[in-house]
Formats: sequence, C-alpha cells, structure tokens
Amino acid sequence: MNIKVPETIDFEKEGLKVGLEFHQQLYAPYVDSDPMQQKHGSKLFCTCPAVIRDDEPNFVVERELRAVSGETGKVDIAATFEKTKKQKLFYQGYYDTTCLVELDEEPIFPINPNALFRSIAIAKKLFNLHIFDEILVCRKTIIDGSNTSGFQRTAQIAYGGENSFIDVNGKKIYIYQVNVEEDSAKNVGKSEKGRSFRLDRLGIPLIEIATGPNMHTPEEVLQTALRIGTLLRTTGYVKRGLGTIRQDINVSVKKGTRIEIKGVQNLELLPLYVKNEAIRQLRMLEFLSYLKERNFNKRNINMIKPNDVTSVFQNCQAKFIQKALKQKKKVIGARLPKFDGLLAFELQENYRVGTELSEIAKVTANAGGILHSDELPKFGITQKEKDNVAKSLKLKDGDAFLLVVGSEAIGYQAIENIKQIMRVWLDSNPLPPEVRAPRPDGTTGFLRPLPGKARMYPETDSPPIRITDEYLEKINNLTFEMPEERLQRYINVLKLPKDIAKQLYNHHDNILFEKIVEETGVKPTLVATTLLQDIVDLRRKGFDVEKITEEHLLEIFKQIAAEKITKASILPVLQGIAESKTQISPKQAIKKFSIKPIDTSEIEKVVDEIIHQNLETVKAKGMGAMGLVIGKTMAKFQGKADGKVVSSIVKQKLASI
Amino acid sequence: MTTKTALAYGNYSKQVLDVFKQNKIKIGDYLVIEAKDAKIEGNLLPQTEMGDPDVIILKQKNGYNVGVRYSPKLKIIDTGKSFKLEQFPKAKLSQKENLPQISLLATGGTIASRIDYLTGGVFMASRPEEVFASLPELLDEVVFKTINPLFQMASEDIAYKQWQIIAKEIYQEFENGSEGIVIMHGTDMMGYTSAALSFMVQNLPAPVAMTGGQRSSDRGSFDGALNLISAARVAAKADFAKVSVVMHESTEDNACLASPGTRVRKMHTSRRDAFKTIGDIPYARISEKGEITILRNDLPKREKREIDLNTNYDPKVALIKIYPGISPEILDWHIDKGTKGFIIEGTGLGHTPTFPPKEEKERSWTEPMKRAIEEGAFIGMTSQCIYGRTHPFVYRALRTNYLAGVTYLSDMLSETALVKLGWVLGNTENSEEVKQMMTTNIAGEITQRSNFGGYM
Repeated sequence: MNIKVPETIDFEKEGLKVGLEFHQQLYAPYVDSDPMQQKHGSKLFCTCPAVIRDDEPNFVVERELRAVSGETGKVDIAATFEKTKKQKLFYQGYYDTTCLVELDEEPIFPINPNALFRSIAIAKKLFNLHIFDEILVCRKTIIDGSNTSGFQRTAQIAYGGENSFIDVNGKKIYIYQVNVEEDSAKNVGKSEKGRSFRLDRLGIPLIEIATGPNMHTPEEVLQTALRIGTLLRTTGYVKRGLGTIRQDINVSVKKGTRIEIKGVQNLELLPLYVKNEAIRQLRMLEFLSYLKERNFNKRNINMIKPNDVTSVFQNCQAKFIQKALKQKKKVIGARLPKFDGLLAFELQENYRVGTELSEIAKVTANAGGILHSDELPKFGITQKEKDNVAKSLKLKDGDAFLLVVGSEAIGYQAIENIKQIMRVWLDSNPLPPEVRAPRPDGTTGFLRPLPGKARMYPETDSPPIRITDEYLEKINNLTFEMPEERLQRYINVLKLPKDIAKQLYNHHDNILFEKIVEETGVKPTLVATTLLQDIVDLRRKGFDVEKITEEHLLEIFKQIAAEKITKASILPVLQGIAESKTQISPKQAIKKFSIKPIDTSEIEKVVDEIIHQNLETVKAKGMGAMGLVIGKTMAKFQGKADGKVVSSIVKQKLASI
Repeated sequence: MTTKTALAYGNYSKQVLDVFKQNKIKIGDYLVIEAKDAKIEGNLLPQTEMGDPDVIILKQKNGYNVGVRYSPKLKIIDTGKSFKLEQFPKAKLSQKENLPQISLLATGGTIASRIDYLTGGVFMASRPEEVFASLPELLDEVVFKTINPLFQMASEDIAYKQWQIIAKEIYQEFENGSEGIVIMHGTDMMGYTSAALSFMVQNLPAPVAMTGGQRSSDRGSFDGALNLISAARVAAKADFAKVSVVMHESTEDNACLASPGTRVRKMHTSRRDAFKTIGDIPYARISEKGEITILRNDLPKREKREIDLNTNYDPKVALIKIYPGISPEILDWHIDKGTKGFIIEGTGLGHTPTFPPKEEKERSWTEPMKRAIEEGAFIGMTSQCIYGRTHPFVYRALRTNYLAGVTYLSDMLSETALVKLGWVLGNTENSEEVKQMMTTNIAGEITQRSNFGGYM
C-alpha cells in the first residue's frame, strides 16, 4: 500500500470525462431610468439593484426552514443530513438594496424583462441553442438556508441541437442547456446559534450554461471555461469581477462515478480540481479495496460507538485541548475497527482518509474536525495519552480511533454521520455519487451525498412566458462582435498598437474604452493607455482608483477633445480624484487638478531666453537648432507646456533670427 | 389522484387536442418531440389557463417544465410510458396518551392547501392532517380528539352561513369534552370570522384559536407550521377562554401572538406578521419553544361554563367607505334592496360629506341618512383611520350626523361592526335595542380606555 498519491495519471487511459455548468451573473437593469439599477443591474424577480455589500447590514431576520410537507416517503440521504444540521437561519439585509421579495415576504414581480431578453440572446446568438416557445419558471427545492423561500427559482430557456456548440481550439464542445435563475444568498458564517446568510446576492440573475460531458483533459476544461467567459463578456450583458462567475464541474473516470464539484470561483484552479478529483476517484477505489481485503463490513460500522474519553486529557499540555476543557467541552472518541494505517492513506495530495472523515464531521455536524490515531502523537498530544485513549476504547490489533473535541452532542452527531457515510461507501458500486466542495489548495472536500433529483415544480406566482416570433426576430437582428473580430478592428480601424490591442480586446474595460472613444473622438491609443497603464499604475502606488468613475473619465477626455486641457493633465487629475476624501464631481476635479495651459507670452519669454543663452549654436545651426531649443523649453516647463505651441513659437523665432 | 384517473387536458386548443386524441396521447405520457435538429422529451402536462393553447407543455427528465409550440411539422412520438402521478403520503397519526385533547376544525385556506407538484395548482388538502407531515413535533404535545374538515373554502367565499356552522361545531366539540379548539382558516377574511365567532359563541370554557398561513405549505419557509403549532398550544394550554387569532408576531419565526377575535385585522397583503391587534393589547405571546406569556389581566380563565350559543344572523347589512365626492344615492339603492343596517366607514372622527357648496348640495349625506333612519334603518359610524375612536361632537358636521340619528361606534373596527350588526339584527328588530346593543361592549369589540401601547 502506497499512502502517497501519484503526481499525475494518464487521463486518456482512465477515461476522464468532464462537463461544465457555467454560472455567470447577468447585468440587467429592471427599470432603465433608475441610476442604481443602471449602474449595477437588478435582481431577477424584483427591482432591487444587484449590489454586493460589505458594509454592516441594516437588519437581521431570524428564520427556520422545514422539510416540506408532501415530500415523497423515501428518505433522501442528502435531506437527512440537512435535517441533522437543523439550525436557526439569520438573514442580513439592507433597507436600500434588499426588499420583501428577498425576505420571502412578498410574491415576486414579473421576471426582469432585460435579464430574460439578454439570456435568450446569449443562448441563441452565442451558442446557437433553440429557444422554448413557452418558458415556465420553476421552483427547485433547496433547504440548506441559502434561499429564504426554501427553493430557488429557475427556468430552462433553451435546448441544444446538433449545431449547438462552441469551438475550443478546434474541438467542438456541445452546449445542451441554458437556464436563467436566481443567485442564492451568500453564507457569511456560522455559530452555535445557527447560520448567517446575506441577502445582497439573493435574486441576482444568473445564466447557467451546461456543456456536454465531452472534455477529456484538465486543460481542456480550463480552455472551455475561458472561452465561454470571453464570449459572455463580449455581449456586455454580464456582470464583471470577483464572485460574478461560479462553475459546477462534473467529473468522472471510467471506473469511478459522476462527482459534482460545486461553486468553483477561480477559473485558474479548474484543471487542478479536475486532476485531483480524477485521482481521488481512483484512490478511493483503492482504499475501498483495502477495506474489502480487511473484510470491513456493516457489523464493524455498528461497532463504532462514541465514548467520552475526556478524562484521559485532564493534564494534557496541548493548548487547544486545555482551552476546550475550560469551556466544558468534551473529547469524544470512537474505535474504528480494522482501520489501522488507513487513515493516513492519501486520497488527494495532502488529503488523507482522515481528512475526509474530518470534513464529514465539519460540514455535517458543525464539529471543528477530528484527530485520529494515524497522526498521533502530534499537536501536543503525547504517546501516553494516545495509548490511554486506545486502552479506554478497548482497541484491538489493527484498529484505529478518532477523536472529536467539542460538545457532547456535536461529538456524537459527528460520529453518527461518519458511520452513515461509511455505510454509503460499502453500499455504493463502484463509488458513492457526491457533491464536493472546492478547497483553496485545489483539492475537493466532502460536502454532501449527491441528492436525489431535486424536486421541481411550477412557480405559481409567475405566468408562462410566451416567446413570440417577433421577440426572436429582435434577437436575430442583434449583432455581437466576436472577440477575434474585435482584435482585428482595434488594430486595423482604431490603429491601436498590436500589443495594446491584444491587451484590450478581451479586457473588462473595453466597453468603457469604446464608449470614451466614440463619445469624445480622442485618439484611441491615448484612451487605451490611460485605462490600461495610468490607472493601473495609480492602483499599484496605493491610490483608491475605485473613486475614478466612468463620468470622470468621460469628462476628462471630452475636455481634451475640446482642447481645454492637455493630455499632461490626465495623470494629475486622476490622482487628485483618487486622493479626494469625498467623491468629487468631474468638472470640479478637472478645475482643481488640471494643469493650467501656459500662456503663449510666457513661452515666448522662455524661448527668447534660451535662444539668447545658446545664441552661437543657434546662429551656427539655424533651423537645425529647433530640436535643441524645443527640448530645453519643454524641460523648463517640466513637460507642462503644449508641445505644438512651443514648436510653432520656436520655429517662428528661429526664422526671424 | 391515482394513476387510473386520467387528468384533464386543460387549456389545449382544438388542433392540439385533435392530435392528442388521434394518437391516444394522454396527460402524463412520455413524449418525444422531434423538431429541427433537436428533440425534446418529457411527460405531457396539462396547459394552464394562462398559457398559449397551441403550446405543448412537457416536464423533462431534468425536472424543468417547458413549452413547445405545436406545428404539423413536429413529429410527436408517444413512447407508451407514462409517469406515476404523485401519491401524497398519508401522515400516520400515532397519537400519544395523557396529553391535552383538542379539536381541529379546518375550513380551507392557504394553511390547509397543498400544491400539486405536477401542475403547480394549489388545492385544498382533502385531509387536514396532511398539514402535520411537516410538523411531527405537534403530536408530542397534543392529541387531536377530533379532526373535522368542515369545508374546503378560500376565505373570501366564507360568509355567515359558514360562521353559523363553525359556531355550532365549537359548541358541540366543547360539549363533547374538548379542551380547546384550533380552526384553520384562510387569512384574508379570518378577522371577520373571528369576530363572528366571538359574538356567536360566548362564555367559552376554553380557548378557540384560529390560525392560517401567509406562505404556502410547499415551501420550506411555510409560516403556517409555527402558526399551527402555536395555535395548538394556545388551545391545549393557554389559560384564557377567548376566541383569538394566532399568527406570527414579526417577520421572524420565533414567536406568535394571540390577538383578540374582535380587534384583529389583516394589515398587510403578504407579510407573515400581517395580523395586528388594533388599539388594544394582544392576549398572549407564544414563543417557538412553547412558553405562553399572557399579556393581560382581564381575561376569563379556563373553566367549565355553560356556553352561550347564538347563531342568529341577518345578512341585510352593508359596509360603505366614504370617499371624496361619494354620492349618498348609494344609500337609496341599498334600502331599495332591503338593507336594514349600515356601517359607514367615515373619515377622521366619523365624517360624511355634510356641507358641500350650495350648487352641489345633493352631495350632502345628512338628509339621506336621516331619511334612511326614519325609515327604520340603523346607521353606525366607524372610522377609516382604523386606529382611534370616532366622536359625535367635536365638529359641527359630526354633530349634524349625530342629530340625524347616526350611531357613533367608538373604536369598533369597521369589519367587526359589520359582523356585529348582522348578529344584532338577527336577534332583534327593535331599533332602540339595536342601538343599545351596538354601543355596548359584548365581546371586546369596544375598548374602555385607549391604551397608549395599542397603536402600531
């Protein structure tokens, strides 16, 4: 038995199959005339602006969710785990950006017409899907607390056919389904009292794009995700920035099963999750074969019983144990028959069977984690204490043990849930289908067994939405510029230098760039360098560039176009805005921070002086001294004088000598 | 519903129905529809009255319902497979012993409804105990000696005949030894029914707790669960023998209030805490853990009593809301139709248009009201302010109404006043007696003093 995981595996040989569910928040104002909605977009079923907040919430509402009456008699294992987690739910809201709809205190508004239009446009124009003639909003039962109602509203708007695919490096990746749905409330923490969620994210429109399971390497998954992201951004219909994209990945290997990895936000980690999950499935199979070899069976699981072993640790030197005992917590132990050595077996890099049990205890029973015999003595726990636990739990040869530090109830619950999952291990063939959580290090942690098919039923508060031929005609008439086309236009039409064009064509600021160029007529290269370089430089120097708004930039370039200020003013004005304590209006900022154009007479004076100082050279070179004089003049004004003006004065003066 | 009962097609057009019938396609059949370069599969659902009759609705395997417009070009294949319609689990009532024995009367409404997951339609549960499926803990605290589904009605359809039936049932249940009664009712008109029961069944031996739900029972966030368990606790344990409405105290799921039957009003269309006690103090607060805190000291305790059952009712009563420019001709219309009593929901302290400009003097209500009263009608005055008392003397216009014979009903709620008037007229036609009874507090409908804490 090799307890270390292999570094990599042969993905083709192992039959890796991956499908993506790409979730992207939509930018779609419900009421166009409302400035907040115009800026942030709106929610899907109310007119609240789609603003993510990090300030203190205005109010908190305590709620409870119940297993819904009328669920079918079969006990779903996923639902059972939710029930054992039954706790209070605390919803944090804001008076100005959340309303009774998010609070589940009011029926929904009709679906956000712009969100619907934009998602249909994306499905049809980017992915070539067929749009349903009637769209029906459904309720998908979710009782983990992330939806105040106990369900998520979602509608499938389109379905794929033979021609619904995108090209990723020459390979066809099929798109088979597009949904529009509400985003969930963000989990912002848990305590003994319950779990807290914030309502700011709840109800933001999401478009979900599901690919077929036809990606076969980790790298292909990343390339597909990047391509979908690029295509979506090109429409201008999506929100940008951290947290606006979330992916669910379905991963399987031939010998394994379909595992869903839920909510990956960092695209760059996608290949790592895929690789680690593929390896985990193979390692899990190997681990289960060892259990079989040792004849580990359900009777052995029944032997796992929680025992209070707190007394062993009365004089323990480990700080976390001392602290727990002071808080009247317990150390609950359980014997794991036939498990000796298996807890250290790695399923993923640095993720052992023990880690898996620890994750189960954490997510299903709110425990802090577990300790186990394969890793002790460690963390300040001594060999003697380990031996005493073994004695107290009556360990036999080949057994292992685990410990949970916490309240008695949590300890018992954690061990009970671990036993439940072990039964699932033994029952499943070949592997238990699960939903796993992405961890920051690229591995996946236990989240919950894959729930049975979620209950979906019609949202009675929304009438059916008929998509007419005229509606689709409007969408057919839209044109989206594909990213490659944009790059060519930047180079050939806007005459951007190639390196800048390549940076910009896929950059999140390209919409702003085009708006400024179109509205002001300023030279594109100047606008591009301001956006790509000047602002980035200021940020790197620690300035709060968030204060610089679209209005600021538009006004600056308008005044440059009108020749009221010169380009030399751009940087000082931007810096001034970023440094202002309060938000400053564009006109004020320019007035306050721009460099005053230098009076022509003053320039003439300086030019005269310089010619005088260098009279001999000037006389000798004649017009050939122009460069020298201009250079010295500009240096004198530290670049603040208008080069064109200086040059014409110098020319005039030299000519008259 | 069972698999044997074919479901109705609903709102499909004739051309679609013809295709279904020719191909023997029934609701629930698994269809494959081939179109363009793709196919759509799913179980056939009925089309709703809101949908396009030419659009075929399918429930796909992924759970989503979708619609595809019928066209003769589509190839529709019936696979012959049909899904099993949902069987609603029958909650087994395994009741414990040695617990308070209470009765449950169900009249319908959101709380007693369940969704049909297939069609999305909301139906009245045929058996009220179906509601217990989501709150098994209820049966640890009480025994339901009777569960009686009286009606399956939305509350807007409930009127005096139903009140009479409920009142008689209450009487019968208590006669049979019930220790408290829970009534499940739609929320819209629950305040009217609670007022009616307060008059029709007096001198109660134990609590009558009405309750309902503002969210449907298909949701995890079903508020009726806490409401029902709190109402059961009031019925089983609270030491006050009154008719009350037990609903959420706030938007949070942590407590309910028991509000007086004659002073409670639905103040919000959709919030959980829509029910407020108006101008008075609620009877009790019931925490989620079940602690009952009685908030008043003027309540009759549980005690064996001779119930006064009086279900007489005369429905020839009307409630009229005053608005700017309202013509008094509406009174004549009503009187022609035989209306015997009016509650006028006046403005402010109890005004009607009284002294309009000379050229519009036909807008004054004084003479028409006087005439109606002389002809034998009763006119009672309440206020559309909802909170506060009416007063007959503060302004000249008020005095004019008073002198015309209008009876000012102090701080009685308009809805309660209407119900009370029907009940009073059901018991006497003597106008002096009507006036006397309408101005006397019988069931908490008129408060003796305006409590500072009784506003908002």
